[in-house]
Amino acid sequence: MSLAKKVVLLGHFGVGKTSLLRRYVDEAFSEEYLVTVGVHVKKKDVLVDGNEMSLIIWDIEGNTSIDKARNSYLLGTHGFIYVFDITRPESYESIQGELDYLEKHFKGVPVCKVGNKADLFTQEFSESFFKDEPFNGCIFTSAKTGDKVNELFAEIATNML
Amino acid sequence: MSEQNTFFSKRIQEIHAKPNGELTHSSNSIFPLKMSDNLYKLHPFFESLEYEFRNGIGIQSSLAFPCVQLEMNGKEAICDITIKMERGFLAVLLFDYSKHYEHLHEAAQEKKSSMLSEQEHELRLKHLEEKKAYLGFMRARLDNSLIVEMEEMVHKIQLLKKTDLTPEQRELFDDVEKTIGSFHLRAIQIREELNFDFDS
Repeated sequence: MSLAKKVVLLGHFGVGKTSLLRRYVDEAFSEEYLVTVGVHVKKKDVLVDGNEMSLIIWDIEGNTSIDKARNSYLLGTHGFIYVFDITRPESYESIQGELDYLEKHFKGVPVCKVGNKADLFTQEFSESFFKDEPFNGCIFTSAKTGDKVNELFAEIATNML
Repeated sequence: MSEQNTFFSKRIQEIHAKPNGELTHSSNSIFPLKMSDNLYKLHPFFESLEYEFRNGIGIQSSLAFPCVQLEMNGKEAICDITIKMERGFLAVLLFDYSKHYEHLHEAAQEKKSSMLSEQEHELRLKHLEEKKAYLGFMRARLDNSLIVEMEEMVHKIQLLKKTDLTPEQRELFDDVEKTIGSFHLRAIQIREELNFDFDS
């Protein structure tokens, strides 16, 4: 019997939460920015360490801080994916505060930090820019190219076991 | 009055289900459901809350989920969902606000796109300011630390040139004058290059 786990995508608007979800579930990507209003819920069945798992992923509208998100949307969450846009400092400047909030209100629930739009890294601006706290352990993904997207969801799935 | 009833009744659906998901009632005004359907199998939205609903967690008072994109049994709608545990059963109310949210979506799209453009513009401005400040800093360092002192050195060299020097000293002096002169010129060139606006 498959284990159902609720995963919530969090982060500012325009960082690529919906694109990551579409890339992972539908294997599709669009350059067009379409704002998410409310919540989309999608499901993908995966195998994690030999365990069948249904990842039920909630893509909620972007907020500048998590305390602005509806509490009901976060009820029963088994794992969080906090997404920021590597090219927009506003989307990661207060990440520590956001992680502290999750630690306080959702103790023990695993969180994956994701720097999206990694296809925009250059020689001068690379992952090393994010080598220090609170970015250590971050996964850098590109919903556009698909780079590390499967690895991201595999990691959160493993962490929820 | 009957027109209003029809208007609202088409947009509100009431569903009753046991905590195990078994449907006991559905007004079917938005989504066509059968009593053999299970609430948790209808859509991943409900499936993800199965544990909480079966065990009555977080559902002591009613839960509101605004703007949920649903697709069930071939029908799509954007609904506000209210769920409450009544006497031994789950009462689910769906309010079809598809049209409202579609309009809201257009407004939100414009707003967020403008905010992104504004942020991009602010970043560009900040980049230009910091670049200008850095170039100014480098020019000042060149002027104060290097060029001024070199000009003093060049002046002293000119004074030394007018003194009596042995041929050997003259040869060494010519080398020093040439080298210092070259450094001085390069420092001035670097300062001029820092004045160049690469973005123009």
